[in-house]
Amino acid sequence: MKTILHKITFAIISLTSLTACVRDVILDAGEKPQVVVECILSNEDVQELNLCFTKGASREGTEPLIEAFATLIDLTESKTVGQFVKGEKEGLWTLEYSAVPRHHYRLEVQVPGYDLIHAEDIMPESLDIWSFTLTGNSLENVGFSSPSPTFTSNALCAGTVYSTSSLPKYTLIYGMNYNPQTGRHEIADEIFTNLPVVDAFNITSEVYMPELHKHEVSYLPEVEAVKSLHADLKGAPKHKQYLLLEKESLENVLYQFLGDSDPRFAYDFLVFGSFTGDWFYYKKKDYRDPAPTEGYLVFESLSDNYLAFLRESIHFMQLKESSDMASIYLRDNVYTNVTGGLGIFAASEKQIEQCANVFQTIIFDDYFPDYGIISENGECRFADNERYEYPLWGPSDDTLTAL
Amino acid sequence: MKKHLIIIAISLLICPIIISAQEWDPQHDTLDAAVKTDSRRVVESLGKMTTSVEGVRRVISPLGEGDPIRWAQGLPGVTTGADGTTAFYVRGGNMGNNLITLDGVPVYGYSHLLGLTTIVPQDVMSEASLLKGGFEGNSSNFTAGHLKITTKDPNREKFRMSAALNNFLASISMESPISKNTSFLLSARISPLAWEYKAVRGMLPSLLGGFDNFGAGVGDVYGKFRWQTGKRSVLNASFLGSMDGYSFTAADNADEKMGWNNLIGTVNWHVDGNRSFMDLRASVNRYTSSQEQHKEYRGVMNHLTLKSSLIEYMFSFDRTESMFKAFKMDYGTKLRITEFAPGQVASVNNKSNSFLGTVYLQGRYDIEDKLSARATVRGHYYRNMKDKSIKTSMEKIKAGRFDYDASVSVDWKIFKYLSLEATFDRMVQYYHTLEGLPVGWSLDMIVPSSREIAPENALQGNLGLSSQIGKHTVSAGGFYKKMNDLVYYKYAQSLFSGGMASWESDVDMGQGRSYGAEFLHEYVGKDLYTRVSYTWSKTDRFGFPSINEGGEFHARFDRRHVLNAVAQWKGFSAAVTLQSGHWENGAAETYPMHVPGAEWTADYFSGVNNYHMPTVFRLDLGYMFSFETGKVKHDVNVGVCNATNHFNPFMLYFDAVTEGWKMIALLPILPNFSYRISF
Repeated sequence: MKTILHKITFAIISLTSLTACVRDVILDAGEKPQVVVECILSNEDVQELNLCFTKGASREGTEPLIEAFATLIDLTESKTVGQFVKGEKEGLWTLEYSAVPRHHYRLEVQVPGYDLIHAEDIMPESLDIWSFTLTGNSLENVGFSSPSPTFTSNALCAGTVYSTSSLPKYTLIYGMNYNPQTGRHEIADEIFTNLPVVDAFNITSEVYMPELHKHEVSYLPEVEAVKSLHADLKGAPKHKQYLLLEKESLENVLYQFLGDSDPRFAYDFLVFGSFTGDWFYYKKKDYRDPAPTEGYLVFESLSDNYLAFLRESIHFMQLKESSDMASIYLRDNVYTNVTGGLGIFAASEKQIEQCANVFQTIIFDDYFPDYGIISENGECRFADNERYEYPLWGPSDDTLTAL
Repeated sequence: MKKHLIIIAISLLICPIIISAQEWDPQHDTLDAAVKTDSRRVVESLGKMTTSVEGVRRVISPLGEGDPIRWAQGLPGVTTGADGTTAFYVRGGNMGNNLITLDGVPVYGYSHLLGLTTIVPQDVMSEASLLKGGFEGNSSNFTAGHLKITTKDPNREKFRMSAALNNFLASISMESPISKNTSFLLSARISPLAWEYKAVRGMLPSLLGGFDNFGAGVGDVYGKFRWQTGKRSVLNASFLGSMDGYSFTAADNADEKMGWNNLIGTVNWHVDGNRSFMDLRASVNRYTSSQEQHKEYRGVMNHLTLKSSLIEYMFSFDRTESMFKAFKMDYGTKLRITEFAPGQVASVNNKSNSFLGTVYLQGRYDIEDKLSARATVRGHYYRNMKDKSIKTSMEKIKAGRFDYDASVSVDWKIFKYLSLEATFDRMVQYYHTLEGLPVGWSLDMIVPSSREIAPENALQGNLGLSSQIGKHTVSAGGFYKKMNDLVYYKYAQSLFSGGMASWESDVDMGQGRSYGAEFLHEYVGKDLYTRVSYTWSKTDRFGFPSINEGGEFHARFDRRHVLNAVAQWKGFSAAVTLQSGHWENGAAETYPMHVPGAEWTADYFSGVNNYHMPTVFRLDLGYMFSFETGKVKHDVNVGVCNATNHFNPFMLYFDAVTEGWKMIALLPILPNFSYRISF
């Protein structure tokens, strides 16, 4: 009897011990919410300012920020640009104004119960990107000086080449795909370039290895030129969602003179990625806006503050999505240039461009009589029946074997 | 980390087995506890408190009998780490800023049994003192508290032997004269933890879940040889060896081992003169710790072995001379050669040797019942051998460095019942402890100072009043302390991490500040003894470049209020602990942000250590009685720790399964028991 009693006592104590050891906790430090400012000045006609409070760990949602007085000041011209007007959407204030490149701006926000919140930034330089989509036939007039090569249907698409005479200080590049399920444009997950110097902040362990297109043919000099660009793309590191170019770093490595009379730097480069729904046009006169369901590429010139913010934001975003437990214990805050609050006041200028993936479309429904190529049963061959299996670009058979 | 907490939980769970296995029947006389009332009083001065081994034994603990650290944890100016463990902090310092010495030799890996007790057996202990300020001349190389443990001399008259058993340890000790001038003392302890685990595993396998193959090798041996070499000279030779080794297989099939060992050998020659005495001491101290993990990851077996070691050779000379009627002069030197090898992983050995030479001069002036004053100055030369002299066009940087520190204490009896006490100290510490879990495990890496990681130093002052009226002693005082070059290790709570090999790149240095008030009341009656100690303090850290942008933040164990009360009446004991919760990192405030093409939720951390953990409350009850059968004396301690089963969490961890934070407490309601026979 005594033994049984002891065992029962032991079991009760042991179970009590176990349940007493661990409890859930919500680690709300209970501190005063901070005012969050988010305003990226742009070359658009209307500037948007988002204001909100931070949310404590134990709260269901954020406390709405209803009352605020926000002013934009142009320090370059020493004048007040205007006051932001509260919009219908909660937390959104707007101002009809288009920011001027290289102008220095200051944002001041007054929120009852808080000290003056302010931040400053300088609008970056403008972008000047050209693009042209090369095709596999009717390329007589195509050249790298031409912004819009000719194109006919039933053609071999050689993809889009981008060119600029001078990049701004920082350029962000990303693809936007249309997602029919959500009805919205979403950022493309993968992106590569043949440019040799790209910021590695979001680099992945994978590299670009183009598929072997056995039926792709080319002996046009212009396409061969693109081929040489594409050759550089082989082995290019895959970046997650964004390419970040820094002018100074690039110029140290990659430049060419347009000519003695025109000592500007020029860049011709490819951008490749998990893009869908390509939007491309062929001649300058054929330019059209992208259809709502077409994807496109965005080039964005960034101010120094915006760069610092994006670099850290993207790093933390990716860390949160990762399975790395160490991220749970990190206590680093995202970059902010806002005094008296959190968030970002920065500036950027956007330019959207067509994007046709390199050799992503090959149309075999017709033949290319000018060059003696015909297409039959999904295979491409010369009219004299000699099968053509030379990969236009991509790793050679030897390379593949080695891989 | 959770796995290691389970080990502690297991060890705490196991103890009821012992109780249920003991079919003891209190059929003998229940005599009053054999405790001398005078020995209970702990106050010697505001900065120094002392207790005898009986006072230590009366502290209620999970082992059924106390130890010096548990005794010190109940004193003013001391806060604790994880409830129930031996982690302790003195006047705002870090745990690694404390010095624990055994007969003057530092004990670096002092904890035993996963932090539940210390490696010094009670059977060999004579007394313990805690010094918080007004440090003595021969105490150096620390910046917080000094816990001095003194061993007893072997019995020179007759053979004595004792044996004891408690929840976690079985011990035996003996002492005996060898000849007219020689005697010895031997003690050995071993823990039956692994067997207890097997018993629990057999009885209630479901309790231990996926935690398997637990093994524990815990024990210690102490020996002391005394030789009366002359009428006024004694040679003592002693050694202490301790072992803590734990192994287990975790739920993810990882085989893990960890442990630490100490080996200390000391020879001390003491000579008394007519108006002077002298101590000459040599010691070798080896402390090692290790962590091993064998784990399959993506089909490949990965092995990690992390070892740290410290070997210290120390030579010291201390002399005291009575110069005049009321004036004494102390002087001496201490030379230390230390071989550090922290964080050895694979081919990385991180070895570096250091030399520390200290000389001190101390004057003491005593007018009985009126004034006691002491002034000390110490000079140190330190060199980390990996630092080389650098000569540039601008300056020449020497490889070694000189430092000076000092201590002053004054005790002025203003009136018959009222004394004014003041102390001032500047202390320098030439090694750093990269503190991890606050459970007292001796796994924290100890690393040497170098040119890049400067020695820590602290400046502190203390002013107070004390009064002794009859059976009452009351003291109250305030202190202020400033600490410089404190080390903060970013991955302190990582276990089984190869990253510890590159510790130098993961430490940050900053400052600390602590101030507060301390109060103590003691009543020593014939049968009743009470002690109430209360500390109000504020401790913060600042100036760490990578933390909180160099701004202030709470020290982790910045407990604003600490109240400890003890009452002993005849054989009964009760102890209450009420402490403000410590500080952990709170969860982030969140806010929506946008990057091109995406919206995300950003985190905002207003600082580190900004979440206040719940208040700690613990009620411990105990009963101690003794009886004799013939020449054999029996001492029995029974008690309950945390009698109210209060949940006293000491840390947080993130549960990856539920993706939520959890608080962990180590000490639930826990019966304890110890039984000792001696003859």
